[in-house]
Amino acid sequence: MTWSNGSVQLYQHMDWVGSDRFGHYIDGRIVAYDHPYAPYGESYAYEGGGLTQGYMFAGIPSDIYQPRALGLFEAPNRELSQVQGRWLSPDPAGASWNAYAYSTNPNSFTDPTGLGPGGYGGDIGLKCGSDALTGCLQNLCEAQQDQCVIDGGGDVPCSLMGSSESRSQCPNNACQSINQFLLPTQFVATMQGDFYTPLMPGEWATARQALIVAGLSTDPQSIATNTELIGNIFKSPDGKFSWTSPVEGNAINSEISVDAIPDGTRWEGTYHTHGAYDPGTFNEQFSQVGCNGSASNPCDIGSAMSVYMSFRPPRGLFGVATPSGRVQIFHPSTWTLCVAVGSAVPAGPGSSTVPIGQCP
Amino acid sequence: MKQMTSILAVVSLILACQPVVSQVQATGTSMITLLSNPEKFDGKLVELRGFLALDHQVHHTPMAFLFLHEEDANNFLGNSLIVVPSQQMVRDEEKINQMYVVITGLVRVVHADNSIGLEMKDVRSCRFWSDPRRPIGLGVDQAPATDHK
Repeated sequence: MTWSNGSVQLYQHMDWVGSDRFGHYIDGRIVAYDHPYAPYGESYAYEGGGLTQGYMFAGIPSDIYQPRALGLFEAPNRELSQVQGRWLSPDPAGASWNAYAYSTNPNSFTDPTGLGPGGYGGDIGLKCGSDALTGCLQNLCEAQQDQCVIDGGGDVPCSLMGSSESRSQCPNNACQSINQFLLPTQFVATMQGDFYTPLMPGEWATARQALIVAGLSTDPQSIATNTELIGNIFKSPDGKFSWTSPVEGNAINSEISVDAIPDGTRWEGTYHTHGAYDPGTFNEQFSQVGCNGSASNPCDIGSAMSVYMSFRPPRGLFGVATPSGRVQIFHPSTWTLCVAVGSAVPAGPGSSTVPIGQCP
Repeated sequence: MKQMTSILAVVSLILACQPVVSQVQATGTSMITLLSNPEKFDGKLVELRGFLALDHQVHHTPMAFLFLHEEDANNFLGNSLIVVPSQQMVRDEEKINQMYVVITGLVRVVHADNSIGLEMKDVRSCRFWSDPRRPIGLGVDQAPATDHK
């Protein structure tokens, strides 16, 4: 990435967690700085000069209003102290036992938004490499890595299918990973090779499992394109559950139909994603009725309730995957939001959430 | 040349058939009749009157629902069907959202486990009928859609 203060232009070289490890001046092509970081962001053995702002640790930019000596990194939701290796304020969701802790494995797990559950494993959604899933899989192609992080559940294998010889053809090959629920997830590159989409969804034992994996699988593409994706969960005649490939939102000609499921299957629910992080929208949670300023706008909750009530008897499971990698499930019968993956954030005043692991 | 003639014949046939397809008459019915006999209307072009709630958020795929009554929408009481909104409906959002409308489209019964749902897709038309805040039955100045039955 490039950085400029008006007179000096730098090209910053990121390391695998997204820290600006090294920089060179664009004019003159000479080294500007060498900036090693300790695992929790503390600078050491810094060589170079002139750069007082615009540096970055693990995807979190430095606080441009603070001098470098204070060493604060400003994530969208809270500040990280590089000296202490801890957040200066607690997890906004209050979801973890140690609300000030940064990732316990900072070489593998990062938390660029500040919303990752502290001490748990970092931000779900950021993958190995400096990019999201694309970076992860690209690294697999280029460096033949056999480990990467898919959803914060631990170091799990993410290997390309096929023989080692075929790995060089990564963009058109399928890639398989395992998430924290030990549910295999498969991806395949688009023709352009710039993001991955779950074209081989697989089958799962429960609708909830299928919904979680559908959300986790489609989230990287949704974030990369800042576009909502939406699809259906369905039950096959053999009793297994799966999901339909998503359609794109954010376009007047996009449409989602609960009827768009394979012949002979039964509709079970709907999943959708929320694109990239946007502080101006409700994209870290199901949006509440009236989210757009109009009290009557159904938004996510109202739409889910309306779909649910359009079945007799009422039926349906509804999930959303968010920019920080949460997967929330809405249970219309109890008007409850269950956080299946990621830290809990209430959808709004008066709404309830069920902590991870206690989803009905 | 023979091939060309065949292609032209097929194209002519398609063009000739189009008006016939578009002239398929919609079955006019009420929400109550539809909701109580969903299977009877499965796969049919149906014209309905009901209260429309349309959701069109940033980055979101538009969704819509047709309710028997405004109260059903506001209290999530059901008595509704899912509507896959047409592009024209999204463009007309300000005119038809949260209004009673006359809508024509293809009704599909959707099966879930031990449950059935109703959906309307391929919407042919959706016209304003009455504003619940200024109901036409109370003699206000808003005229309903001119081509209603």
